[in-house]
Amino acid sequence: MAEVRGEAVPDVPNGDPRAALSRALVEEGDRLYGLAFRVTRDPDLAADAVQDAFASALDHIDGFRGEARLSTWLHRIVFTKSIDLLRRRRREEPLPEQDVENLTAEDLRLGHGPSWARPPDEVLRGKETRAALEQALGRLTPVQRAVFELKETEGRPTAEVAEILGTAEPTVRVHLHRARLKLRDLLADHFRGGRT
Amino acid sequence: MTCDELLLRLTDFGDGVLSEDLCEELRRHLAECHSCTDLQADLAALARLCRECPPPRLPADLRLRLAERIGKGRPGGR
Repeated sequence: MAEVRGEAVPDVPNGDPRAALSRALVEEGDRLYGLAFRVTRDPDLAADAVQDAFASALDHIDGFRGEARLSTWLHRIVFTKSIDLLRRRRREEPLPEQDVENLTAEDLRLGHGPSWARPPDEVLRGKETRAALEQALGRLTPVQRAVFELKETEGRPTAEVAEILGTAEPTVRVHLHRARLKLRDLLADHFRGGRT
Repeated sequence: MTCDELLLRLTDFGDGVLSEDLCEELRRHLAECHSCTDLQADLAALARLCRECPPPRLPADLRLRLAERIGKGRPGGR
């Protein structure tokens, strides 16, 4: 089994790596770009991350077999490239996660914040709400945004998200929990007609 | 179960990793606590909001370049 930066290269169905990558580009291209965009919050960096990821995949996929699904493996490379690009350009250093094993007093404080008071669907689906959500997502760490995108938006299983991020499942749940509570807190004013 | 205890376990509950006993305690608390029911409703609304947002699309020119490179089998820069 070969490795790319310590990651096992996936099995390629039907033994044709280029055909598998072409299919992945069609089927997963938007989701891969979506992950990169969510992590970097920059369309140019996101495009670079996806391009670098496919270049890396092409470099390493020929003749190799591994255990990960191709989609998971590509998401893992895109995530890693996105974090690398953020660090390299120093636009946004990933914020340190003080404690990803346990929830803290801050997590509890956020959980007791004001309720959204059941916003009606037309408000929930409105452009202003989407803009407020984008702004709030910018207050999360890149890893929290990645977890939120993969779990909440795409609905991927926790085990797969852990594999993509190269971390443990309980850590994914802590990131997700914090992301949810922070977003709820940050959007509370929006749903009460105030600032976000 | 207290509100804090529920809060700490809510994501684990949604992920199906709690024991059945804890799940039952959590459900009982939710049935009696408006504050925690509101929290759960907000998080459900947040999930709905995210799923209904139009996802970003891979730019067409990049998709084309990547398809060409995969076809040639040669990775490279822009």
